[in-house]
Amino acid sequence: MKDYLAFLRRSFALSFVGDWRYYAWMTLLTVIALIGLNAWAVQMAQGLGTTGMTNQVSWGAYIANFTYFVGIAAAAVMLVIPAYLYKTEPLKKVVIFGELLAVAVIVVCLAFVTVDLGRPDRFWHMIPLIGKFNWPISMLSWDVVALSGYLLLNMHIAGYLIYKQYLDEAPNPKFYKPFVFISIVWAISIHTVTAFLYVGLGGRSFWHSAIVAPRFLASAFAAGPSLIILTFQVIRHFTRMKVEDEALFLLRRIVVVAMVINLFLLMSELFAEFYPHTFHVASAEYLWFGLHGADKLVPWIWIAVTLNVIATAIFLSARSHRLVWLNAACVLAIVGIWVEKGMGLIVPGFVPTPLGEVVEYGPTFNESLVCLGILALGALLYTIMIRVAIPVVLGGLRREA
Amino acid sequence: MSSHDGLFNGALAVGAGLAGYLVLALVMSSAAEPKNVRAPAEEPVNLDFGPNERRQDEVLLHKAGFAYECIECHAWQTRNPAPRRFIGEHLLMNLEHGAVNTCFTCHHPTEYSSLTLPSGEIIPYNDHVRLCAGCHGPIYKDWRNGAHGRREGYWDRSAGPVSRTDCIICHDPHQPAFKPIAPLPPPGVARGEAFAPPEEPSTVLGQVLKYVPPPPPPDRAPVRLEETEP
Amino acid sequence: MSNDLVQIGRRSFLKRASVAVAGVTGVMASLSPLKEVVGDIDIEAWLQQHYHELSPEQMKDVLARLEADAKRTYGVDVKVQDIKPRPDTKFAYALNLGVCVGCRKCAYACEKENNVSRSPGMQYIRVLEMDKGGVNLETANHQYDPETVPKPDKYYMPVQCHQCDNPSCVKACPVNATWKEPDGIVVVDYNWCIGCRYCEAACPYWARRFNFEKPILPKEEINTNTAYLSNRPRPQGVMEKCTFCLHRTREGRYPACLEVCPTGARVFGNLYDPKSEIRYVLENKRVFVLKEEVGTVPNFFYFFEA
Repeated sequence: MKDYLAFLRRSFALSFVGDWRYYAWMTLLTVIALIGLNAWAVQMAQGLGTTGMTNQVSWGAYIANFTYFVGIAAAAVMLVIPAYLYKTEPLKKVVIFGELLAVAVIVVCLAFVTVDLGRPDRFWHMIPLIGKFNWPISMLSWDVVALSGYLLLNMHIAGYLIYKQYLDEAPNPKFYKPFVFISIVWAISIHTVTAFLYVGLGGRSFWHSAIVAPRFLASAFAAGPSLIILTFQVIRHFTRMKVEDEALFLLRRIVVVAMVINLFLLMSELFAEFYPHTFHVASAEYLWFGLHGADKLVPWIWIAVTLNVIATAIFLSARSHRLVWLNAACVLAIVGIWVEKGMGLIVPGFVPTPLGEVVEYGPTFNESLVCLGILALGALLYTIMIRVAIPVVLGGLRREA
Repeated sequence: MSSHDGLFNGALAVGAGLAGYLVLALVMSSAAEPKNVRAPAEEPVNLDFGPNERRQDEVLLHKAGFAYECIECHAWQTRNPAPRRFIGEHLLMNLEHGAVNTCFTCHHPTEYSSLTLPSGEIIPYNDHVRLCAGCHGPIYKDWRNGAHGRREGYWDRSAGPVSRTDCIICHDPHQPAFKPIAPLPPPGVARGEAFAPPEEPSTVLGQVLKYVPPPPPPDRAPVRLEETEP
Repeated sequence: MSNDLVQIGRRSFLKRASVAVAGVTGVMASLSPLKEVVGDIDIEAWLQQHYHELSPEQMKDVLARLEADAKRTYGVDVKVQDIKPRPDTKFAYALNLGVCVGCRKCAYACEKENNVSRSPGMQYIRVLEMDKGGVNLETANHQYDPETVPKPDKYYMPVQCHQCDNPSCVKACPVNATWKEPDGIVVVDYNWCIGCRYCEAACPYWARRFNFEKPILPKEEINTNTAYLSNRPRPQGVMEKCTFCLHRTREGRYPACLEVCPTGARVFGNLYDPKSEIRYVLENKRVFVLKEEVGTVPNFFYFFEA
């Protein structure tokens, strides 16, 4: 216990140590996070009227980003499966950074949900026993369970392994292996449950489709590993941690398959919407072509799909075996899926409203600042975590004798 | 491929991603300025009864500060059973009441201050519901059972009374169709932009109702009411 | 970092202290917009239990506190009561689309009766202008504003909470802040709602409204006869909805929207009473419910009759 507290204390102290680039990066993130916090404070004081949301479009950028990042968090499983199940060596060495990324991203997700609440001060109402937690009826309560469970699992696995290395002891498989396998199933479940949040709303035909959960997973397993590919390169550039190219190209294989499946599912969805052309096509029509003159999302979705198609083409071609092309494709996939699955999924669910009213939504400046602040918070957390993890993994940080 | 290249690309990619997000966020936010269609404080809206409010007491003609009963004129005027246009003091009236096209379908031919049932029975004006019910049986039944007409008060009769409006409160007996009224202002939207549905109706009937027929041939003069035979 | 193995102890106390001060200052400065609402914080209100957990004594205190809050905020003596459902009662509504002229008086009477924020789009009742010849909500006009209504090629369809028997909004709520009362009314505990708006997304009738900002209530128009579960003044950041005016209907009176309707298009009553007006309509008219296919089983019926 004393050792553990010492570990925490030294980790905390270590997070303030680095070269000028580290300080610049951390200061930048802290400033953005504080600006975001300030914007959130404005929102809490004046209400969600500071956002672009209305009774017509009652969820916006917050929930869109939430949905996207749940996928990113779930995608850590694409490192875990090859590393633990198939014992792929290059990935096994770096899997810990994927799990830490999941931790940071889940915090981002929880932050996006929290800022979306009208009464964050009543958060305790959700705590079982003290409050009233409508589980298992409400899908939102399932999502809370899934996300916090996934957060705990990854915190435990990554924390345990790092701490054991710090102690210079061999980790006991009994204390982490079962949780690794649970986390694999759990990762799938967080994104499935998040999809079910929307699928479970029978009155919103745009979301009420069985294909939403598979689409979520496919897009997550494309965007998530793409982000991990980029992150690993940043890590190996700025730290002494070595990440082999082989690890990156192993992830590439996952992204290729996921991108192709994602595009296929998108096409299936489009066919189901537009060929029969029932009343329920209105939301899809709004997204892809505009409805009653409302067409704010139309350029975004076409850009997103174009990016996704180009990214898939690059991933499928031999060029993606070169890092430049691979990185370009990853950026395209990340941005493309961010638009398609964020705003492109959430906003059309509200346009038109169930009573046919067409009101457009766009985030306000304050709302965007909150989003940026949360992303900065996530980056800050992740930087601190790898700042501590890398010396431990490399053997630089050990229990003091 | 050296790892040095990879790191550069990686950093570039992350930078591009962040910059892209900023641009997206700023572009989208600029288009979302609050636009209140409905001003917060507005003059109080009129929730009063509406234009079809009519007096419920006996029928009087108000002229030059005096009130006259029907019989004051009709005592010396002769009865004309033919369908006709209103003249004199009734000029402001129009008879557009379905098949009812004579005064004496409802008004008693001699007891001018009273109404008459088809049976010939004389009833006072304030008992007009019986007269209306003679022709409008199903609606009378709905009204009796609370499915037609405006009500106020208590749905639970043990807790309090209910006031039910009579036929002529809402329906002018000479022109019973409900008059168009001005709607209260539209609800507006708090933020963002509202878009109206297309002008073109989406239904077949809607299309048909929009259809404007060509004008009738010029030689067909409109039928004049006073020239028709009884 | 090139200096991963740097010794931690090297950092001076001064440097650490300045970082700490800068950090705390930064966080405090960021949170400064909250200063204006700090005065509103009421620890008793914050700790208030769920409606179902409150004992009669606690409820008395809560009601007194709410009345004091209203007095402080609006300077008006508002009476807040906790009106319980009546036994053997299930409320239902019917609306005669054949006579509705679309004048919106119901929407405005409701707004006033229920102390609904005068912010645009908050009214519980939305009147749709529909093309004759179908029931196509996708082309309904919400913002119609002609000189007079009805327009000859249109009909009008007011929509409000349908008080469903299988309410998707109640299922959605993660904290049980909204539930169905024994008399069929779906209510919201405004002191329990966390403002996630999942219920608003779940409702197929777009019947729920969220207080995106502090409600705009003209002091002189406040209805002072209120109930905990219906029309008492609401705080910012919570959901609200039509309750069939339960503060009126549970005392035997008609809802406000019914009384104001100039054409008498609205019928309300107790489904369990065979002699009620609503039973007459359901038994003698051919009624339909909106979006029957979503399976929410509404207690709000439409019919067409001259």
